Amino acid sequence: MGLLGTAVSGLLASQRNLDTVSHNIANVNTEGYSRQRVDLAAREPQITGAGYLGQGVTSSAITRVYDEFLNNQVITSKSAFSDLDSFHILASQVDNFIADSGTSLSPALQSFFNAVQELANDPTSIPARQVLLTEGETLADRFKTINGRLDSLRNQANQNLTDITNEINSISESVAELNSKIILATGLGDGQSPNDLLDQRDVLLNQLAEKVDVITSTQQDGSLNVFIGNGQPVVLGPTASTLGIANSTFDPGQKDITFNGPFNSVVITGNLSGGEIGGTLRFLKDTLDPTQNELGRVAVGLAQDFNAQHQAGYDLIGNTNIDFFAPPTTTVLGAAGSTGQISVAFSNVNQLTASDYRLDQNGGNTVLTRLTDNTQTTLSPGFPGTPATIDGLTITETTALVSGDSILIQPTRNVAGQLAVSLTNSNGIAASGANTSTGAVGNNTNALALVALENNRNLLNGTASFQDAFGQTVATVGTVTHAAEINRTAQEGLLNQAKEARESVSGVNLDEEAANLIKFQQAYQAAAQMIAVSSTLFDTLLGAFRR
Amino acid sequence: MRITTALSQQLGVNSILDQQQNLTRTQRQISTGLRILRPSDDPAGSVRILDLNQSIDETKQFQANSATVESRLTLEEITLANATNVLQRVRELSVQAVNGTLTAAARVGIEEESRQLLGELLGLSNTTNANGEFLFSGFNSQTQSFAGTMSTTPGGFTYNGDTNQRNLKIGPTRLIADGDHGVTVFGDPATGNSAFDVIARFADNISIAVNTPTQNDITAIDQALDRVLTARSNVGGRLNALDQQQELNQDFILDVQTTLSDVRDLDFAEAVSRLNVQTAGLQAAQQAYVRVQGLSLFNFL
Repeated sequence: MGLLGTAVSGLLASQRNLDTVSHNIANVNTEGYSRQRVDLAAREPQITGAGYLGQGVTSSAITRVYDEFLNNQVITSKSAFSDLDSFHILASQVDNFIADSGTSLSPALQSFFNAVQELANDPTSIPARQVLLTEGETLADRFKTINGRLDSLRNQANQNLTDITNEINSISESVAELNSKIILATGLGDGQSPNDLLDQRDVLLNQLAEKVDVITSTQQDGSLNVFIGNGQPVVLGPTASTLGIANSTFDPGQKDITFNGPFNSVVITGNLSGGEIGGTLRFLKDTLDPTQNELGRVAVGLAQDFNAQHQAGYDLIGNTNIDFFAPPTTTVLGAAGSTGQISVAFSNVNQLTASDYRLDQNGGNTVLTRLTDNTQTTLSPGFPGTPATIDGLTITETTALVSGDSILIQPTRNVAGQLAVSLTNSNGIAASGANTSTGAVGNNTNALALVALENNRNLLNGTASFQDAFGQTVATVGTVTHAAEINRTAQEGLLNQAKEARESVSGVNLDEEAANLIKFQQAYQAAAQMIAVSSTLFDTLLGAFRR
Repeated sequence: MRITTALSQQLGVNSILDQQQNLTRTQRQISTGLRILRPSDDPAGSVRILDLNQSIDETKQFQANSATVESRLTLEEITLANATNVLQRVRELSVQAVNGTLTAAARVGIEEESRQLLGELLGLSNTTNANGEFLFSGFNSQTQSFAGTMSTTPGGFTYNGDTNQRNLKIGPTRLIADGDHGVTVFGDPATGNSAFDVIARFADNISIAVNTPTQNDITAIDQALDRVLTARSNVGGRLNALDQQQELNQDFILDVQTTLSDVRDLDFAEAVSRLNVQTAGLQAAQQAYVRVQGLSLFNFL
């Protein structure tokens, strides 16, 4: 090779390095880019009489500076963070309006009972009666408004699930495409890694982890398999599978996520955690359902208790047994394929829980499962002959249940949205505790009894008034949102740390590149100088012969 | 740790964003004057706010109820004062009639005046309040309390109300009657001994055709007067109690409002000094960012 060969090898090596520095500088702001460097090695020496003579330099590989462990840590942290973040975003929307002085339940509840007091002051006054009727409607409306906002949050969360599922599908598709490119490039490169493609795939994995927890495994050919839930493969080498959205078996308002495998599609909602999907599902189950059920329970309590006392009184013209509010009803949803039917009525508001229930007929037994804590109760042998009473509910069979039937009961879910004043004529308000047909229209004893309901602890097993029960909901929402905020901030810190750790290994530092630039530029100039020297040497030799 | 260009830029931006977030929160607190903007700011505190507001509203309602009772009792008090005057005049006439030797013309005059007074008392007993409810009919508030005229004979009067009193709520556990029924105030016509019967009997007795009035008439009139006076002092007592309860309610509202303010309202001095610290922090973060980002080896190439 000689001097010229050695000089050229140095020139080429420096050029590679300068190219790589340039590539690094160009990608300083590229998301997920890992800085690259050229691995140099001295060429194999040549044997001479005096020993081995060096033959210059060769670039053995261009590698990315990358730590798989740090990268995985970012992916895991990202998943945990976006879980907490999306939960926090949804929960703080409830947090924003639940106790707002303008839209909250408390002021309307108070105004309503103040109007009852005005009725007690003036039982014969038509304006006072009219005001009570209007305040009743305002209160019912307030329940509806809050419930409506919760409903629209449910729609938003369901829409989120649909959108996220679509995004997951499109990301999986891209990962599969990159997999095939990487398999090809790895083969062509004779074992060398296609660094930039690998970086791109890592970026996609990060995006996927924002949506849901993922598990990955790298294959021999350079491709990556991606699994979600409890092992559903969304990406296997160059092929991707899709996720879908389906209505839940019982409740069309509830969405399930399905994995569309090659042979069938399975519901995997229960197995998914982490990421935006995890946060959204958790919000639905742990915050929205209980909040809406608890609000409904206050509505049931108010309607039932107020009606019971109202029925005991007499209106202006001697009528009795009158409802003020339309009696609230439970929601009963049979699973697809169930033939039996039941009706569920409120028997004791004091014992009502904020849970949903599932009734299953399995051969001989009818089992009721309380879904918040999965407590199972086998209905008494008398059922269905005699109705069963449990947790303040009376369950009656209306069409014979057969084995395999499954029915979802949402006792209070929709009550707040249905609450309405059924009384239309203000004369019908029963203020009197005694028959008014004898003239006792000035009797206000029943109105006073209605006033007393405001502070009666007649909910949650005698521990809470209507106001207290609502207060508990506010406290729960506040506490949950507060905790979510703290957790989110803590997780954000962890995520940033993980990102910093990865960045500190893989990220580009422009000062460093500038220094490298100087270093390789000098090396390049020196190598070029060597070529000039070898040319001079050659000229010297030629000159000697010319003489 | 090796710091990279993108990271150092991101760290700078993050710190500016954090400072901005804190500053915005403080700014919102100051502009609303509230310490708690959402339940998550202080879950226990926000429930207390709901409870305290409820207490205030409820007590304000008790105050409104008290005002209703007060106006009704004041009307009753005026009516009873008039009734007292009427009965006292009747008593004067009866004393004259029993003691003096009267001319026939004078007897006619006293009879005439007594019957007028009877009519006046009947009118007073059928007083209605602003809602058109009869004051002395008990629960039968839309039924005229007493039936009879100034020429009705003794025993001919009827009471059409009942013997109930309406209670109004003026405190969490405090009920107070907003009036009295006719029997307590004027006696029961069913026994023939109501104030109206007594006056009508006296008028009959003074008229030339029948008996001469006796000490019995005076005693009966005294008894009628006593009933009215007792009712009056009862009403006075209730008005006193009402005053006390109103003061109690007012104090309670003030107390609760103070507590509410402690729980809910912002400590402005603290918030403003926090605002200053945060503003300085944001400025420092911004300056640091510009300074650090200006550093580059490329500047020297």
